[in-house]
Amino acid sequence: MAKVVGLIGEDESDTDVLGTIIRKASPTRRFKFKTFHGHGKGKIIGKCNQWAKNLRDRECTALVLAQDLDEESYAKVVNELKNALEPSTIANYCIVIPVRMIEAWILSDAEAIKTALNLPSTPNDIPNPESLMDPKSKLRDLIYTLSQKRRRYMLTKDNGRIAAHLRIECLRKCPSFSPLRDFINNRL
Amino acid sequence: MINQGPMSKNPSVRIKSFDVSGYRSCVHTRVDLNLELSALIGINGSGKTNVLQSLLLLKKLGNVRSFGHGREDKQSSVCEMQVVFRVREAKVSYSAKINYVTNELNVDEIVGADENWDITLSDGRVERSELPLSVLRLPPEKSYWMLAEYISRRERQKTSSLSGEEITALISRDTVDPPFRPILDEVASFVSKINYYSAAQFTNPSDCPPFFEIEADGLSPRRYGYMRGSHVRFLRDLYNLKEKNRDGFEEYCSLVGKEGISLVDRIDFHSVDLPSSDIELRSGGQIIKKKVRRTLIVPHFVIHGAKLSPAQLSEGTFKTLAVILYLSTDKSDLLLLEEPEVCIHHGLLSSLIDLVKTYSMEKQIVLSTHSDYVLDLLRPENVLLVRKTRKEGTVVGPLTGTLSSKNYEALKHYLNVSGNLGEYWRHTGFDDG
Repeated sequence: MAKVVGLIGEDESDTDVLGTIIRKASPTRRFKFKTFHGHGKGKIIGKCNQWAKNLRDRECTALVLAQDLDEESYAKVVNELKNALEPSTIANYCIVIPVRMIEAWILSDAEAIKTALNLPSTPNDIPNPESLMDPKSKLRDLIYTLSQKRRRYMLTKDNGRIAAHLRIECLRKCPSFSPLRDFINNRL
Repeated sequence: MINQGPMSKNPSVRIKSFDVSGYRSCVHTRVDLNLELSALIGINGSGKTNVLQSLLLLKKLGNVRSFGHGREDKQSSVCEMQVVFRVREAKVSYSAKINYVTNELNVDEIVGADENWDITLSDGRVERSELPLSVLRLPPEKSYWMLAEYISRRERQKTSSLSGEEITALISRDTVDPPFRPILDEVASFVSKINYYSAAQFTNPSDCPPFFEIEADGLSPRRYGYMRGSHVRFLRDLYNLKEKNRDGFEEYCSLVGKEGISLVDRIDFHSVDLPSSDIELRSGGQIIKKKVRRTLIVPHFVIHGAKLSPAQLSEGTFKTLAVILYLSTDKSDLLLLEEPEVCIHHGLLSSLIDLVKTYSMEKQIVLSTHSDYVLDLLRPENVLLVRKTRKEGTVVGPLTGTLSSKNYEALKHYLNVSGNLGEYWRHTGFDDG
C-alpha cells in the first residue's frame, strides 16, 4: 500500500521536485503525494497548520514542508515554520529549507540537466551549488547558452523534468538536503 | 538592475518615466516604469488601457509622414507627452504636443506633432533637437530630403522665402547628423518596435478562418477583409516565423510544445498552390493578363494526436499560443500586455508569468492585470497602482511609494508571515486611507 505524504511548497514545481526526489531516494516503496502551494513565504507560514490538518484529513501520515531560504537566516526560517505548525497535526513531519532556492539542488547534477532537457553538451559541474547567489538565473543562463539559444528555462516545468534524472548522490553537494534525506531514510 | 547575462540582448534603451496630459482619462498622468517589468493594477475604468495606449502614440508618431502640429479641428484632440528614456549613460527627454483623432474603431491616428528633445550626455552636456521621430525612423538618404521639407516649411513660417542654398545651410546647421544623432536613432528604433498585445484581440477563435492566402512573394497576405483580424495576423506571423526564422520557430515550438508547457504536440502548415491569374488594366484600356502564383496556407495544431484547425482551439489555448509568440519572437524592446490572464488556467498562467519575467530581462514589459493570482507571482516593486479621481483623472503610482511607510511595513510583514500579494490586494485594495 502506498504511503500518503503531504507536500507543502512554494509552487507546483517545488512539490514536483520533492515528490520525485522522495521516490528516487526510496525506490522500492510506493508513495502518493497530496500538495499545497503557497506562492510566497507569508502564505506558507500563515496557512501551513490549516493545510497540514487538511492533508491529515486526506490521509497523509507524513508531511514535508519546504520553503526557500532566499536571503534569510536558516535558523530563523526553521523556527518560524516550526512555530507555525502544531506538531500534533501530523507528528511525522520534516522542514526543508533549500539554501537560497531549490534550483541549487537542481544544479547539483549537470548530467541530469543535459539529459532531461536534451542539451547538446553537459554544463560544467558546480561543486557547491548552494554558494550561488541566484541559482535560478544560473540555470536560466546555462540552459539558454547550452541549447544554442533554442531553449528557454521554464521553471514551472523544467525543474520537475530535471529532478526525474537527478542522481541522489549528487545532492550531497547541498547540505540543505540532509534533513530530507534523513527523514526519507529514517522516518518515512 | 538590467540583466546582462547571456539572455540579455544588451538592452540600451528603456523608458524610465513618462507624463501624459490631455489624453483620454490621463488629465495629467505621470508613470515611473521599472526598467524590466511593471504591472498596472486598478479598478475598471481607472485608465490602465489609456496608459498603455498613450505609449502606443509614440510608435505612431514615428509613422507620421507630414511634419508639424497639423490643423486642429473639431474632430481632433491635442495631448502632450514627455518621455524620459535611459539610453546607456545618457538621459533623453522627449516631449511632444500631439494632434490626433480617434477613429470609429477607437484607434488613435496622429494628425501632427511638435517634437523636442533634450539630451543629457554622460559628460553632463545638454543638447537640444527638434528632429521628428518620423525623420529619425528613415534611412539617412531619405531622412535628408524629408528633413529639408520640414525645415524649409518651418523656416518659411518665420521668413517669407528661402533659397535652396539657405535651406541646405539650415539642414547642415540643423543637425541632420549631429554627434548625438545615434542616441536619437536608438530611441527611434526603440519606439518603432513597441508592441501591444491584448487578450481581447483573440476572443472567440471560432471566428478564425481555417486558412490564409499568400502571394508570389511567399509572405504577404491577400488583403481580404476577414484576413485583417488578429487571429489571422497571429497565424500569418507564426507562418512567417517558420519560413524566415527557423531558430525562432524552434524556440517557440519548444516553449509551447512537449519540451515546454505541452500545449500542443506540433504545429504544421500545409500549403496548396492555386492556379491563378490576375488582370491588370492599363491606361488606354490595355488589358494585361498576368500569371500570379497564389498559395493557400492551412495551419494545423496537433494536440494529443488530434489535428485541429485554429478555429477548433479553445480560447485559452489560442490566447496562450498568441501571447507566447509575441513574447518570445517579436523584436520589440517594449511590450505592452493587456490582461494576459484572460481565459487561462492558473497552472498555465504560472508558466506564462514565469516566461513574462524571463523575457522582461530582454525587453521592457508593461502589463495590466485584474488577477490577484498574477500578483501572487510578482514582487511589490513590480506593481503600479492605477486610480482615477474626478479632478486629476488617471493617477499612477508605484505600490512601494504609494503606501505610507507604516502601511508598507504592514504589507511586508503580511508577506512574511501571513499571506501573499494578490490576497492582500483582494482583501485590502491596497487602500492607504
